[in-house]
Amino acid sequence: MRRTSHSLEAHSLVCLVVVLASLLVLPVVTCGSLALAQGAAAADKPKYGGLVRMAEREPPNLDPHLSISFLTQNVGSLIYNGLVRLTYVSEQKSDADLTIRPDLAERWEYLDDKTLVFYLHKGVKFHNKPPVNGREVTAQDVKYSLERFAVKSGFRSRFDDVERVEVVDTYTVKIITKHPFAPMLINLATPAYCVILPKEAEDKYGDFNKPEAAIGTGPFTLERYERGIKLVFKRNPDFYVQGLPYLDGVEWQITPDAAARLSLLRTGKVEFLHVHGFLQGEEAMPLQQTNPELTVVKFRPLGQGLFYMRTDQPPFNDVRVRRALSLAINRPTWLEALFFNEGCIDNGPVPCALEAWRLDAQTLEPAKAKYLLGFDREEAKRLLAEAGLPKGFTTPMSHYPGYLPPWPSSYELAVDELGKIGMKIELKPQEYGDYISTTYLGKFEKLAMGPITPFLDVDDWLYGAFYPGQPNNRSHVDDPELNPMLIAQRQELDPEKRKRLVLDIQRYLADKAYYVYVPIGLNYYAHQPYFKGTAPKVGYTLGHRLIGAWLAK
Amino acid sequence: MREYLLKRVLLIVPTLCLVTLLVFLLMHMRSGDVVIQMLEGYAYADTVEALRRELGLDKPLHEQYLAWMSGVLQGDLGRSLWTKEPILVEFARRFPVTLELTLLTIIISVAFGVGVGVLSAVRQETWIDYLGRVVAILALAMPYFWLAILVVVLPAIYWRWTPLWTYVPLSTDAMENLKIMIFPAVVFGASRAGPIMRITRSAMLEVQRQDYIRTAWAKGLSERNVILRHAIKNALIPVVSIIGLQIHFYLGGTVIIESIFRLPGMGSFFFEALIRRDFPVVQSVNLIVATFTLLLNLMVDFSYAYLDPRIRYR
Repeated sequence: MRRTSHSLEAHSLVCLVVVLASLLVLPVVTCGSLALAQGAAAADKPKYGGLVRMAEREPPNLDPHLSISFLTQNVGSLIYNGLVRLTYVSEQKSDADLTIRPDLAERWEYLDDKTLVFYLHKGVKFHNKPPVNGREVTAQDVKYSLERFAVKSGFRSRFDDVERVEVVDTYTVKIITKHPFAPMLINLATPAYCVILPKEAEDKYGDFNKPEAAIGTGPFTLERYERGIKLVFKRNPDFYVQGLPYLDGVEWQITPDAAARLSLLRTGKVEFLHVHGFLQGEEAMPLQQTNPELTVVKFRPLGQGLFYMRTDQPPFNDVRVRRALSLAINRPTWLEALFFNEGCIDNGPVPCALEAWRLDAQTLEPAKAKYLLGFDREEAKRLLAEAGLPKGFTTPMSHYPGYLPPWPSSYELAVDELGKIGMKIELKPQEYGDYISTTYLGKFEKLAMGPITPFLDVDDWLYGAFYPGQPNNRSHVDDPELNPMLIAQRQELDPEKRKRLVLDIQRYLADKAYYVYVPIGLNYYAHQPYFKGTAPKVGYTLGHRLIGAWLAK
Repeated sequence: MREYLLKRVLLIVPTLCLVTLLVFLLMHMRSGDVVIQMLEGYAYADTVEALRRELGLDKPLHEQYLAWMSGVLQGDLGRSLWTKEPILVEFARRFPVTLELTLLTIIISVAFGVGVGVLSAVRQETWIDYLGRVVAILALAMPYFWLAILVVVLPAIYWRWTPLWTYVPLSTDAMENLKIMIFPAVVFGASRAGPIMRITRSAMLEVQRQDYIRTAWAKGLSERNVILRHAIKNALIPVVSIIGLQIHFYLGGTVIIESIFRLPGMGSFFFEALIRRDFPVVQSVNLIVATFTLLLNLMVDFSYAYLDPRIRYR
């Protein structure tokens, strides 16, 4: 009792001291707070200097035309420029903003529906490295680079519709296509395969794979490449956009293992995770708990998760079987179970992130929409019975189990959902090298499931996925009514008219169930809190995300 | 002795030919096409064929194998299909890292395995012995790659620390290099110490029951002298054998360990190549590892004579 009383007295004394001290230091604290607030404002003003570090796998090659790997293309986005570009993150309205801006070309115009003319910026210089030594970019460089692309690149099919590239004068170049070709500009703007390269570097080094041959016009120069260890990029002091970039350099630390990359971010040994910089929900949620200091931004990824099937063979050549599969998927439950109830539930042929081209499923007739998004097990069973499969059937489902979570759970959920209507799924896991060169390109038996490449242009999601003979036509679709529609949208240069055609295609496809789309979750862009001026962005756009970034410390 | 050595060295040649042939056939029997993998969603028929021609993969299999073999005989291991870099250059850059990791791992696993094994045998049926045996079973039961992931991930979560640094070569800064290499070597060495510990313990128990050990005790020698001078040397023969047999485990294990600890060695190079179906790299790394394994096995066989002078080679 006595001790309690003594403790209370002591407590009161402490309180008194604290209160008096607070009164004395209040002005100081207030000033301090103001200073902090000013500091925060100052921190929001870009600051020059510093090296940003990230952990990523090793690029298989540095030549942007000799590898289509996303790693090579992201390296290219730091070193090179194209004629046109996508928005930098400071200019974008969203991560999937595909607005096209001038890059090495200050402007462009269509002379007719097959001739596109580009007028180059004057005075743009290549990096000051031998044998190019900082000379000016000319139309000859554009012709050389685009012709090299058309011959050597794995992406060369992008130029199948190009007839020729003509130099008009030192600063003017024409691209003439065989017929009107709407995706031309976005192909040119996609980092980094249509980048402009100096011929002398190839003449001297044989290709652009050697670090000393990596000479472009981009915001960073490749300073050093220690194979298996790191790539070090340095600010290009002669970059044609004055004042950019803010960073002194970028260090790409080669880290093959995903768990190791995350540990480096947790321990502050890197500023961001990898070239894309994002995590899936299953990894991001625990990260936010253990490392609340990190900045984590949610965004809607450009991508799809889907079932694809051999629509040229039984049983999936029967639209009733495909519709039954779609009706068996309880999409709200799927989103809740796998994606923390965050993401896009009404995926269709055009992914949710491509808002400008996407048909709102609410505008579809309910009778059609249900085969795209509906959930009705009884009708699914009835459709299977009508198709002559009243007891259901067994089918293998090819997939790659190594995709990031929650993909492994998606396959299990698919087995469960489809099993309830009598489709017995036998999971057929494949090793990555096997999967990517067979199933991913439509070489599989009956049914497969997985994510697909986040293409930037709507043409890839429609023509690429549905036109006969395309490598990405995984469901082997060959629909005589659809084919002319697919061609028409890619040959329409007027954006408004093209959009109407794209919407018509989505309306037509709604109840065909050539592919069955599943919900897709949000991604989480994670980085150190002092790493500013960066944001998520679709595509191979590391350069676009770092050009206006700075370190506030 | 000389005849035996010659016979063993000559046997290496057909063994290596067989290894390369088997690896070549296995790689081509596996599903998955390097060219299509390179092109992914852009694998149009004409693009695929053009790239296949460019890489020389349109030729019959036997021609591809013989072309690679003839290059090997002239000291040229070929070029990576993906990086286009000469494999020999890459090998020269990466092999020292793997060699250092392997040697450190062997040293750690032997020191730990032999030490605990001897202690366990000398203090048989005491708490030291029980503890040693539990440790041995744990080391055997825990996959090293799982342990490596734990070592990289858990301290990062709980203490904001992780044993991952940017690699520095031994020649540049020995201390910094040791700091980087010690964690992977300890993790991998601990897992390989389990079998060594068990073999050492049982060999020591057997040797301790031999007449000459009893004589040594009877002469009044101290425990230290009996164990260190008389028992250990004779108990080490099966231990050396097990190390020899485990050489391929040591080298093979680097594939995963190097990837997790981001060491720029042969293992991580091989791992990437295997996934990417980079045939020349896979074949060349296999050839190098097989040669290294055979030579080390040869050395182990010859070390028996040093450990037990009664052993004669014919």
